[in-house]
Amino acid sequence: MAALGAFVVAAITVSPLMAAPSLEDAVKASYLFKFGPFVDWPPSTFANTGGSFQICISGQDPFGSVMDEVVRGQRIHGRPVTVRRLSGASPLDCQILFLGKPTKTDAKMPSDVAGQPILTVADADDGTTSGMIEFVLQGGRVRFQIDDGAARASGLRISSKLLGLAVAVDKR
Amino acid sequence: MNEPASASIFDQPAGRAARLFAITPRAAILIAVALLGAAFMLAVQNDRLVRAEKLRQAAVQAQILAESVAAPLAFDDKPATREYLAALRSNPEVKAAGVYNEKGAFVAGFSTAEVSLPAAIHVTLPSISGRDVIVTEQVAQGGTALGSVYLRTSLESWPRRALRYVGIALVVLMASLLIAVLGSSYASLREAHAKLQAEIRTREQAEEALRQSQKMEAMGQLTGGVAHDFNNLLMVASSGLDLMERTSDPAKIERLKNGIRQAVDRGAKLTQQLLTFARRSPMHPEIIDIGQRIYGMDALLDRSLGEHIVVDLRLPSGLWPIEVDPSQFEVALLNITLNARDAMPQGGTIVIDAENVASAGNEPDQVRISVSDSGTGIPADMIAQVFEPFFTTKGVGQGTGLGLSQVYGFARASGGEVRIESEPGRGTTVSLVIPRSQKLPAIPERAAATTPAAVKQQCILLVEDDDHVAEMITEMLVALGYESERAVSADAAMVRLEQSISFDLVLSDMVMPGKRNGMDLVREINARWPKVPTLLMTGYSAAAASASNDNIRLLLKPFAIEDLSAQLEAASAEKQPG
Repeated sequence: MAALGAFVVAAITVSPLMAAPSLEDAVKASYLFKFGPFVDWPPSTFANTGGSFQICISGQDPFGSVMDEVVRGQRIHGRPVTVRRLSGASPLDCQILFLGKPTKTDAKMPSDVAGQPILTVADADDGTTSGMIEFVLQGGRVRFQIDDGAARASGLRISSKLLGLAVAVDKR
Repeated sequence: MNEPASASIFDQPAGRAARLFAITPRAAILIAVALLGAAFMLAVQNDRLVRAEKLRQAAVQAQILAESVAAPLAFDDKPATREYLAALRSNPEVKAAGVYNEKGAFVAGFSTAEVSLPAAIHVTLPSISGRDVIVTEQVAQGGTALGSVYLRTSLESWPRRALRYVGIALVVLMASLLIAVLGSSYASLREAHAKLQAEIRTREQAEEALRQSQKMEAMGQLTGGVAHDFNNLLMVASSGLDLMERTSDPAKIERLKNGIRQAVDRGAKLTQQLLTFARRSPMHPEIIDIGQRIYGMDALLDRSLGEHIVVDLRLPSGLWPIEVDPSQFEVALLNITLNARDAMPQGGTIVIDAENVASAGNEPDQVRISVSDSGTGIPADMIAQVFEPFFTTKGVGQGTGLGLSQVYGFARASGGEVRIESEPGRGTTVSLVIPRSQKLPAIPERAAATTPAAVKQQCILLVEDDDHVAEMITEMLVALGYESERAVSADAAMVRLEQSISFDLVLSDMVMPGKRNGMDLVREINARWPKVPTLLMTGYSAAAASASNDNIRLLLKPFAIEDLSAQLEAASAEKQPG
């Protein structure tokens, strides 16, 4: 039943404006942060983060300042949350990595994240990127599907509560 | 007269303690009140416990809800949130439940008609509002706050609460009832006990009064009978003396003298009977030969029974000896024969026989002495009464009712018993059964046989307070050839003795006025001048028994001159050196 997924109440048509992120992106930004509490990382991953929980964005950043608003003052697993835009930098110290559409500077997807304890999140309809959790739109609402096998292979443990809300688990 | 004694029972410590612990109505009320108080405390404590328990339950439910709705709340899955809330709805105690997001804004929830959900909340400590518990709990995952839940449950449904109170009230009621019943039954028991005590006291008093009146009646009968008998005896004696003064015919004087002597003997016997009955008469048990004793009574029996009664003595030789007081034995036998004579007003034969009864089983060897008459007999319903003191079938003045009771007293005192068999119209047999003595009878010394005059001049101190008695005894002593000096009391006698010990013997009365009585005097003389012989005279005294225990020589009043002579000689001989 939880597989029916979550819905965003607002079904307002997405604004074509480029500058401000759409409501859909704002919801995604919120979800990106909220995935954190439902996933366990191996303690070693926080060795080089300076004690903070890092949410990284590679490629194009669809969220803008909304992402910073979401994490302000928040903690995940007792750690303050920072948002880092990679702009081609190494994602190795990230805990959550949102894979945006590749830009010219980092044309290729960072392949060295495979096997690392990094929760990768992407848009499913993007076509160019894929992550452990992928946002899908269903009935005008933002939902997600989860590749739990990949997450496990990377040493991550995703809470069954979260798995229960996914529209699909391990579809590949 | 019983009042102080029975009152003191209640004043004893045990009685006081019993009264202290007794359940009075006031104590019962106190206990009931205490019970009520305890029940109230119990109810309050119970309520407090129930409240704490409910708070914990509500907190746990809120926690479960918070855990369950964490993911749906985080990812805006309202249907899932509502499903979790719906599960709580089935619990009638839950009055309201709500889920709020991280900003405290309402997301989903329900409430019953009576209460409403707050529009926004922030997490606080559990609180109690009226009969409801309100719990708020944070929804968090991995340490990150995701929202909060609100839960309002009723403390306890009214029927349950009422049931609990009714249960306690019932227990209290039962206990109070029990105490009331116990208290009232105890009170009634106490009352009954007090009534019983009072009843017992009244009965005791009544019985005492009855005994007293019976005693008085008996005394009346006795004094009547005794006075009549004594008057007759005194009549015989005084008229005899009168007649003696008017005649000088020696034969007539001799006859009158015999008459007077008989009257005096009967008087002595009468007092002896009274004393035996009163058991104050000292017993002097001796080993006696029954045959010899009864043959010795021959003359006495003939004189007492009259001419129309024939006494048939059937005494075999070889009868076992018995240990009894000889004079009491004679009195007892005389009493039985006198009764036998009275049963035969037309005259007849009295058979006195004796036989050895060899031991059978546990019974020791016994000797049976039977007196049978052929008289009127005793009706069966009276046989049980004949040994009772003062029971008599004779008219007032004819009998004292003491005869057979003397026989009974004598037999018991001698370790034996009396049996009576009677058939109305055919006659009566009274049997004395006395245990055999293993000792041999002493050879009786015939005191009267010794010649009284063959003594040397001896001086005797006579201690006697009664002038007439003193005069008579002095005369007797002179007749026996003694010199004598009289002291009027034991004290005077001691004064006289301290002046000089010039007496060969002290002859003293027992009961006298003064510091000492005769007994004290004799003891003092024995202690200070052990060589001086003493002899006590008494007619009646409780001390006579102890005198015989102390081996003090005793002369029973009234006594004949021969007795006096014999006892004086014996007393003197006792103290002779060698």
